[in-house]
Amino acid sequence: MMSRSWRDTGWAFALPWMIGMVTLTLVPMWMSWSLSLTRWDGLSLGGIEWVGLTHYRALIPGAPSTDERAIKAVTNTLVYTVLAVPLNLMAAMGLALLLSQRLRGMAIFRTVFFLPYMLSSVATVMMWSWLFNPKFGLVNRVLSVIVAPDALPGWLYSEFWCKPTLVLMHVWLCGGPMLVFLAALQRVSPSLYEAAALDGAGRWRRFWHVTLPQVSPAILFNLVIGLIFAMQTFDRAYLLYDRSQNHGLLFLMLHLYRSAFDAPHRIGYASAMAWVLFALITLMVVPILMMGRRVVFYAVRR
Amino acid sequence: MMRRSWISYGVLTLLAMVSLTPFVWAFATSLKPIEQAYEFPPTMTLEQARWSNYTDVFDKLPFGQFMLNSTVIALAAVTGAVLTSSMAGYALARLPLRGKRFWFALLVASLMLPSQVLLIPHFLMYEALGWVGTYKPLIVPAWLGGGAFNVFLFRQYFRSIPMDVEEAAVLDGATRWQCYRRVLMPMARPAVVAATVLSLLYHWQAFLNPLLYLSDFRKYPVSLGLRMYQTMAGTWVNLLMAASLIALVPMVVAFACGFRAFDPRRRGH
Amino acid sequence: MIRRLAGIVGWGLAIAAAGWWLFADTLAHYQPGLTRGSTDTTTIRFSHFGSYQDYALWEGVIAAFEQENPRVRVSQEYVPGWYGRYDTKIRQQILSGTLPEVALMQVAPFRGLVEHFAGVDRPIAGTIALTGLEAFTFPEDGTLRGMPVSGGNLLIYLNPDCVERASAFHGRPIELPSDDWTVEEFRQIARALTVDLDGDGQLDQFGFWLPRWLYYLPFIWSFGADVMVDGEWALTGSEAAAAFDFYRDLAVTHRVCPEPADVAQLIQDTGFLTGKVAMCVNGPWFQPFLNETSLKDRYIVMPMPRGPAGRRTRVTWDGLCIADGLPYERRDVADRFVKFCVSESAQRMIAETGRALPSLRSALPAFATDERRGRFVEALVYSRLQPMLPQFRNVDRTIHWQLYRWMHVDVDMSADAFLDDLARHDAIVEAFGVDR
Repeated sequence: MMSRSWRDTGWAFALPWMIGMVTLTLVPMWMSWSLSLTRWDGLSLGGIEWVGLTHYRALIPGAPSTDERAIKAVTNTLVYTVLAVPLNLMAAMGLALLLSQRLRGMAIFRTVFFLPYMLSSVATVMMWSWLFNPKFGLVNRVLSVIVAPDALPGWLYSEFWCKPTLVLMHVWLCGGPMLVFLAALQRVSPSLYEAAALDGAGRWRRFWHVTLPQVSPAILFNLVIGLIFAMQTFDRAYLLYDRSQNHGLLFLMLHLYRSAFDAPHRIGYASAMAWVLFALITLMVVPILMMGRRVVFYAVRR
Repeated sequence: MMRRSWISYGVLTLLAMVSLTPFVWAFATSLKPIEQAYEFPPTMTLEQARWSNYTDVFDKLPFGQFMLNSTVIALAAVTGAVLTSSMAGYALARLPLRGKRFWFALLVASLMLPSQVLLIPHFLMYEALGWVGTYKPLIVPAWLGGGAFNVFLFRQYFRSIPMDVEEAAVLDGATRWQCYRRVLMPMARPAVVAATVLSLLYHWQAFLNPLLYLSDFRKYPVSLGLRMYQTMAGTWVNLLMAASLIALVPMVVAFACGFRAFDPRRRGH
Repeated sequence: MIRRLAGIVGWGLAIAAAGWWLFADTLAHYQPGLTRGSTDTTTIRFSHFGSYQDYALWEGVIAAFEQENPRVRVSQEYVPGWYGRYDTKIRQQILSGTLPEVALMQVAPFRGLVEHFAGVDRPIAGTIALTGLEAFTFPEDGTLRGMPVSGGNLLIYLNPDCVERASAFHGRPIELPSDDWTVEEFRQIARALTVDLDGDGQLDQFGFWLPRWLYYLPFIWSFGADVMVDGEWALTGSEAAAAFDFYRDLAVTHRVCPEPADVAQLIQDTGFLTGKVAMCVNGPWFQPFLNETSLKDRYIVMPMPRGPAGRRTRVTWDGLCIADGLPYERRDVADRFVKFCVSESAQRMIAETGRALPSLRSALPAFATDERRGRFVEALVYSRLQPMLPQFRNVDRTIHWQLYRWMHVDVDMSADAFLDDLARHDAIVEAFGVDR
């Protein structure tokens, strides 16, 4: 099928990206790996001191030299990711399905649901801490109609509720994945639905047997990206951390950032943490990608 | 059918109201004097609204210039990001390419490493190139693949388009570039819109890179401008909200236009 | 054929233009003479942090300097916001050898960075505030690492509306104490100002915002305690216990301080602004903020109350540092700029903003234009510097976190037990190296 002269056109198309990959990612990655084996305050290249795997040892739970704070940060991050990602995706999918109907005024609704995603994180965080204020916030005011005053959640100020609050925020910010789903839903040809309808398939079966396989590449994409981004949550944690009790919002990226950018500036240790984060994400993402190869429906199989 | 659409509208309106509540709050705050901005519960009435906050945003800072700068950076970066990432995605999804598995693994790996650790190497590199103080560190990376996120997005989308559409074009004597340009990109319009919108947003909101690479006040983007309302004593939250909402306007306009690509009525068949 | 040729030429031009755009700056970076013909003006860079008001202030100072020095240009590099991001940027510049010739630094948060700058010339004895010089003099080698240009000390701000409301509530006027008030009087007035105005069982107005971050230092000191003495951890003994007991009593026994959720995302300053808390500890930089509100002409500034060990407060200084290893010409301009910034005219500009005290003593009257501002100048006598330790931010954060836990979670712990616990905390052990 393929003519000879076409064999290596892939290179031509991917070249700019490959150049970027090597210069902007591979080289810095190698640098950060090397740095993770050193102690360095990030001020002069002469001040780098080789320490081998010491930093990684501090990140193994249960050892005498363990950085308990880091373990707590990993736990927080995992709990948050496991809660936030599925809920966020379900919300995004639900909205995308509603918004892809052939109805008037959908353009306005799409913009409305995308708005939260457009706002700067500073403003977002400010708005949320208002709404979820335990004593005066709108949310607890509404809740107080049905819930006893003592049972009202303390939201960001409570060790238990701080993560659910962030999860809710993440659900509210589902505009990104929603957009990807919307794009994917456009690819589903109406003729497939018509055929399914002729076969007498109900709405649920049409969703299950037509829509879902057709948008499965987008689901895989959103799941992988969602996991990666949730594991790397930083902005919101950075802005809200001081409100939380007992380090309830200490996420790994925040701990990493603080190690690197607060005195005594442990660039090496922060790099080691980045690689632990990398490993954790790999453990989550690789099985999903492997499974994806069997489950996801691609028109192009290669 | 009639009944179903009414249910849809009902559900959407309800959700929209919930989703917009924080914006009502933000808007109200942007109209208050600073001492009422933090008041619990809010007591302000509409007659007291301080519309002058919106002109203050422009009086106290060259906010118009910031908006213009952001626009220049975002447009230059997004063009490159969408072009190069769609090309790479096309190659990864549909073209013969040696070591494709390796490149794909690298793509995913580059997503998994937090960007913070790349800060120092990137800075040293751009400094060696003499690019610090210019827009290049903010724009050039976008022309080199435009971020793994976009490449991955396009790769997924291109893989969901059947091979035969391209083969038909090839039989008509089209080159690969013509296939990409005339056949696949038009078919991938929703993905192009999604990638454009998300990249636009990313560059519009980027904060740390402009902060590190730019030093001239007149070159600053909006994202830096928004931090200027923080003082040692506190934040001018009313001005911050007004400025945030102003900064939102170009995005909303761009997206409202872009979203028309998702309208089934406009889809050619 | 012609179309093809035009295509090739077009592409060639586009690639050439892109190449020029990409690498013209690189060329200029390595061969400055090539692109930017030599001129007789010397340009130096000056970087600083802060809000848009700080930008405007320095813009004015630079304009005045350039007017006096016609063949010199200062390019202003302004990093919006506070320390965190400024620190990141300066670090990158140190690492890549691209520090601006002059940078505004504050020793306390940036001590580790200030070390990387060259020293500045000592000013004529007695012209510059003593604590300012002390802040920038490093004991290791005695050099002056930066020229203090502006500073601020902490005093008590009082919201008159709160006094009025509390007076109405109690049915008798609450009298303001004399300037020579004691911590005991302070406690009494804080209690009187804490009221449940609408009688719903929840307090609506609190007497005092309990400072956690750094601002707790004046009280600790006035009880005779200190965080650090001669580089050693010093929050031990009966003075420290008394100081922290005073603190805990304010929050737990007398309930004059709001709990975090009582005031939502209000910070000390906005809590004060909205009349939620009647008193807070703050510096002169609070004034420009207050001056744009309805409290403008009415807020009251009180001296620090006197404790068992006398009257104390904390002062902090921002100073100008000069990059190391500059060629003579630029070093000369940098020196001239720094000297200009502590000259009478520049110091007056700083003083007039009301945001900070000038470091030049003869410019202090320009700051003390009214009674409230005068209090800050008077307080310089009993102001001292906070401990200068590279990890002080971590230490400070730990103290405030533990204090927070003590006041809201482990309420029944004694002050001695609290201090023992604190001294064993990993951040403290790490900073001071000794486990007690």
